[in-house]
Amino acid sequence: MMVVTHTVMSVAFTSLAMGSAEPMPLLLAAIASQLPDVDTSKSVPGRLLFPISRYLETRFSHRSITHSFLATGLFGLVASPLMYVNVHLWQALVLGYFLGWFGDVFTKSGVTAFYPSSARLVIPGNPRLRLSTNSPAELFVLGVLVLVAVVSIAINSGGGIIRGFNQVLGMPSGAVEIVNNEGHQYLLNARINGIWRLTSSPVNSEQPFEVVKSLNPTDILIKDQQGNLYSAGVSEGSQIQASQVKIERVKSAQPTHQQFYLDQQPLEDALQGLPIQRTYVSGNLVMEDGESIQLLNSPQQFASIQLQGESLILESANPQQLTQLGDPVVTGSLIVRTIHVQQ
Amino acid sequence: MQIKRHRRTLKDGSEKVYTYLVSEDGQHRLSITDPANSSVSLTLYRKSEKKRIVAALQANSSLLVVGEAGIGKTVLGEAVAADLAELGFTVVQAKPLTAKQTLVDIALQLGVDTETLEGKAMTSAQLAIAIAGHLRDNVAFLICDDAQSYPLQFRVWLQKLTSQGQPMLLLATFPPARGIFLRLPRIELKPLGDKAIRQIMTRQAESLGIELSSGQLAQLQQRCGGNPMLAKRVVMEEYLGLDDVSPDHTQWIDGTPFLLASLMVLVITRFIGLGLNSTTLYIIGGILTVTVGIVRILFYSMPRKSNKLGQ
Repeated sequence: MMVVTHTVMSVAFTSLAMGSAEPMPLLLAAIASQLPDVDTSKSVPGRLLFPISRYLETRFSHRSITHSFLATGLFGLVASPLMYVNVHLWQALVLGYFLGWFGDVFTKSGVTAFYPSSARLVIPGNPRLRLSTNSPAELFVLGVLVLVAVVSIAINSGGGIIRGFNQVLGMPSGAVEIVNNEGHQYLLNARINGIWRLTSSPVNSEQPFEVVKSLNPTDILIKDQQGNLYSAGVSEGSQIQASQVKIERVKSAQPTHQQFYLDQQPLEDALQGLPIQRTYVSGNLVMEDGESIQLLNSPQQFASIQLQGESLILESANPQQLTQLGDPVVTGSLIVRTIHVQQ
Repeated sequence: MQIKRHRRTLKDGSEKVYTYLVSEDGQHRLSITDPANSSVSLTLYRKSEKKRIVAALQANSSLLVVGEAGIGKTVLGEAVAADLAELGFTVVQAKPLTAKQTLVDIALQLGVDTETLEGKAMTSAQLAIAIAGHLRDNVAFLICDDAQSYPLQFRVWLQKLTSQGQPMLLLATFPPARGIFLRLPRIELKPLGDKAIRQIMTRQAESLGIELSSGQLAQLQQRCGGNPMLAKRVVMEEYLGLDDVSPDHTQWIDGTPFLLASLMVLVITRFIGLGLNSTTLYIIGGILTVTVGIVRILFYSMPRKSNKLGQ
């Protein structure tokens, strides 16, 4: 196989196998893929390491000893100090060397993969279906390999195959996975295809909602431009029945948490000094005797504040909404989550 | 270097003496009487096999040597014949012709009369009896090259000879596992090593008058598979400037099943997705399963390797 075919093949499959698009491992794999061809003095590594290639080609046939599992093992052994620096680099080196000779298994003459056995490994068995170097068939294979390499690097730099799938398919469960994986690093937006459960009218898929958090394995909590919360997903209680949810990153962000304990204190005590934007209060509070609150929850929106007997159950409630409760005296604990967006 | 003489009886009854030099280790012979055309000038890489065969024949045991075409059976047979003749034994070398012709040939080499007392030419049956009778009373070794090409009649007669204790050496290329081939103890000739093949190729290049660098030799050696005949042939193809055709050696391992098996391992992703409750992984695993299925169908629909050249 030609030098370029070896290089592209090793980059493509190393990228696929390691699930990475980092330049350093791929570069090392590309370099290592040239090394098996040191057994002939006409190749690039053969010319660079002339004494070694001259020694090898007077004793062994082409594509024999350096194109074998034995040689791969020895190479891994020699390169093993690299394991202590960075395991990924060592893996990329060994994988690159292996792919450097494995490509030659598909050529007419094969390689002695199981050296010291002199039998030559070939795929497929019919020699007419194998490649000759520099033939049009090899160019076609090269084209396919370039495609594989490009796709693999694109997918891996986009966050990996699973994220890529979730992006394309837009399954609600996949969206939850993305939110869980990336919610602590980024501010996320969601574009939703679905219907409003109460009115059965379609959701505008062009307009992005801001993602607050994931509620359960199939639903997310989202916020529209006006600050209203909705739950979107496939479970029965969600306000939006979503068939597709596509997540996109907006900016880098960092959430912070604060925990408050209130013991027969007014609710305002916890709410003082909290930032207004993107602050979500959750928790269970028990109201003191004699307190009563009227809640007006719109059925169209997510019920952030729920009343159950004497308990107030808060889920991602806005501090402004809480001030409207009238400052009851409560006992309980609260978790305040604030998302700080980097400008 | 030692000097040895080899006495050979020709068909017309005359004797010819070949004189040649033998190297210390017995591997190289150079004919002094007729260096250019001598068939006795050869380099033998299978010394241990030759010694074993000579010892076995002297111990009255017969042997079968099998191997692929061009692996060096005839050369080995010639070396054994030379060694035995040197020790003073009578050696008969048979060739695969019709049964009658082969019998006549053997009779002439042994000095058995091919005509009846009345002066008519003997029939095959009569020749067979006469030769068998002669071999019973006289010590002679029978070497049959290309034994797979002998007619059945002849092979049956050889079987009868072995039952009367006649030591013989049969050399055959992939004979059927029947009759005499099954009865005789067998040596299978393995492919030669890198060094031997390299020497054969170098010598062939010298005799053709071309210079091949070690790089070119390494390139050509890929196609030999340890077969001396192919080693000479690829050098000849290089000399004639022919394209590289499909290699003819038999030292292959087909890796297609292993490749497909390792691809199928990827299907485990589906079950991992099922276990982790990740629909996405399940879908990816499902797509991999279908892809592997398609690859399998395509691979197995490809035409198999043909036994015929050029197909």
